[in-house]
Amino acid sequence: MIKSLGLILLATCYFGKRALANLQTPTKVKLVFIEALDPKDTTSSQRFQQEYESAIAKGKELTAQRLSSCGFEISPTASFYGASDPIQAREHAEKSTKEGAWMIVGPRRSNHYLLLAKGAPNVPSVSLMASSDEVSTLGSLHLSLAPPNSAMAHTAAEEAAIRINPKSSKAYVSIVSADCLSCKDFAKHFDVRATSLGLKKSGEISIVGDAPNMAPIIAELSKYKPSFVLLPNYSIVTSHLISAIHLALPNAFFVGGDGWGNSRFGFVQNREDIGSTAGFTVRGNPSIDASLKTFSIGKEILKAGPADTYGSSSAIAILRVFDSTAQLLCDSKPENSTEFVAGFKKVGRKLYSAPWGTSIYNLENGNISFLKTSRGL
Amino acid sequence: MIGIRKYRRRLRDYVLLSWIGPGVLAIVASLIVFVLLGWLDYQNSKERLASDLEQKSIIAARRASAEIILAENGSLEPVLQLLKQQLTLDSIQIVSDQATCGAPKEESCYHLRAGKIEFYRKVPHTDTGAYIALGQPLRPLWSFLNLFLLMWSAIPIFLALVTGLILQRMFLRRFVIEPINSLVNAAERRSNIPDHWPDELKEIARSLAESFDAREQAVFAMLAKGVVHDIRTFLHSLLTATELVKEKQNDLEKRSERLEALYRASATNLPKMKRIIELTLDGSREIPIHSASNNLSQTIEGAIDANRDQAKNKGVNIDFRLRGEKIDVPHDPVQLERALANLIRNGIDAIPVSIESEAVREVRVSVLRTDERLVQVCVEDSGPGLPADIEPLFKPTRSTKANGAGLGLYITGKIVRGHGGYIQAGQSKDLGGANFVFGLPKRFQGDGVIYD
Repeated sequence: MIKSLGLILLATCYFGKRALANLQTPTKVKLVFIEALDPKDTTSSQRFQQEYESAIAKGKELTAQRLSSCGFEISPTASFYGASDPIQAREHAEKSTKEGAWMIVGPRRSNHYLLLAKGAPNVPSVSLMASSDEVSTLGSLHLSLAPPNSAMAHTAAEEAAIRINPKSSKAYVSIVSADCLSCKDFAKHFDVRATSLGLKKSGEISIVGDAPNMAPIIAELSKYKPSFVLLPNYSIVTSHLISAIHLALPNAFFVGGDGWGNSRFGFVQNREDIGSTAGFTVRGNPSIDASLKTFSIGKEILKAGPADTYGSSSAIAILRVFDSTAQLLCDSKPENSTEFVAGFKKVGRKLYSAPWGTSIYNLENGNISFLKTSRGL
Repeated sequence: MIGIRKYRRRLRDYVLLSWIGPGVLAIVASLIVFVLLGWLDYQNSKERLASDLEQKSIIAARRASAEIILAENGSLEPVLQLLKQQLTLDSIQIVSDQATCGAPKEESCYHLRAGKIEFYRKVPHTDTGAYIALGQPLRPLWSFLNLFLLMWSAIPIFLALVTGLILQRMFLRRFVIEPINSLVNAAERRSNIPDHWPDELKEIARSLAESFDAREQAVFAMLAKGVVHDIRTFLHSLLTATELVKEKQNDLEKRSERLEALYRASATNLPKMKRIIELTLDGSREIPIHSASNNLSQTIEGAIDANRDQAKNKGVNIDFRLRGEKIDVPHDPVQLERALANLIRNGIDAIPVSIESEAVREVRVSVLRTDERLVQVCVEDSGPGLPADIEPLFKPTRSTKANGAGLGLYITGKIVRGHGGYIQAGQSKDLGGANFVFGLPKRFQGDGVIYD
């Protein structure tokens, strides 16, 4: 009898404690999103911002129940700034640190993300797309969802070696934005792999700004007569370069880095004056559907219907951040941000990674379309 | 015509004095304003440029800060070049001169050096003490003195001039011309003296009216004096001739001779007396004009016929080449023939008797111009021409002859103006003497009465 009463008391204590725990207020996890928006194209920036904010809301909604059962609630905030003022990434990061952010989701551009990491060295952060070499050396607290530049550049070089006519000179010329960190990294890694594959670099042209003077560039290209032109730059300057080069050298073939944009965002897609230009570019993200298949809330979205709402890979990356963060929180159950940092250090690289490898996109008749990923997705 | 030229010259002098002088002053003032505004703009441009550089330096310093922090990128130099392009700068560089902005260190400062502004701003978020230095040349003073500024400088002065002109015209019309016209009308008794005029002005109008009356009286007194003198001379010669006839009543031969002399004196002097009386009467009374479409050529021939004997006696040829042609012009043939006859007679009288036998002795009547609106008739002679100091010719007492009463041209002018026409005097280019041109409107219909 006494034994039975003891068991009843024990069970009451156990279930009572569980019930009490369920009644407790969930721990709020402050998640800060910091992103640069280029003010040069207001419409595109506005659309991007809307999709960005929509993805945050969707990620929170789809992870809310799972987190609630673990006793957590993600409290996201978003800060946007002009892309021409990268130091704001650091200032926003410092501010977020002071305001007690558990984790920061950083900007896509590598140099912006590096500045952010310097502003919040002890707060875990994840970039949606940063891919420069320096990003991979920041340590276990600062990660990126994009594959490293070296991997993307190697994939691009290998694809170029396959596509280039073996009877051609196999020569190429790089046109690289001198003020773009990841662009320079990409070109450097591409050269290494291309050389090993028998491609010959005829020359490299360094440019500054979004609309460089094309006359000397065209003259130099005409002198080299390359089999293809490597353009590892951002979207605005790439569209400007392709347009001008296509006009002067209609048969030029273009190879890009992770900056041309996709069919929904960017300035290369549907630019009228690039006509029948041919080429391909590599990116850190596959097609929207292929990306969504790789994580649980992505699968949920696909089950509900076509994922037409999302056009940018940033939005998919945001959803993936929510998914991974929910998993981290439920697995490690940190009681405070310090414990969260420890958990992040331990499993961050595994949770916040790009499972799809590098993706290749074709440029045909002004359209950028997904072709394949290096991991066969 | 001489009088019109004189008035035009006076008007030109007035315009020159009243507007060209101020105009020159206005141009000089414009230039002074132009240079002054340009200089002030030049002075302000330094502050404006410094302010512009201050804004740009914030952008540049922040961007440079990012590149300095990410020193391993090696992107600082390209970014500075990019900023130079984007911010349209003459120069941009990172400097570490500790004395750049003095001590204690300021966040920003600028210096003017050799026509250039150098703006310094401390690069934020770095502990290197680096400053970013932006350079921009100052525009030279002459570049501020442009056409745009010149226009702005001149427009207010030009507007002031135009406004002044308009105000002057309004002022002259309202306060000078119209009051003078009213005063003249009142003085000439064409209108009553307005009650609202000040007493002084009423007094002036009354004085002028009295003065005009007195002048009229004086003119007619002078006329009467001349007429009486002429008539008395004629009467005296007739009386003398009569007395001479009376003296030789018994000597039939002598008496017959003296009667012949009396007859000649009467034949010569009585028509002249009649004409003097008629002219005097015409000068002092209205001349009724009964205008109708008539042949001007016929009227001219009538006037020539009236003077034919006198011309023949003096050996003067009267030339009229359109004889027999039909020139229909509305006019009163009786009055216009009188006017033409007077001008022809003046021409004949003007040709001296003692002139050389080879010289042209001619009075020429010609129709100068006929168009839809006007017919011009010219009467010119080969006499010595008009004296220079005789204007105005068509007023009473003005005569081209040494012993004229001064009524002939006055009455001629009245008749022509009574037809709605005009008359001018000048020098004949062809014959070298006087030239009288009068114009008659072709559409003048009504009867006119001229009051001079």
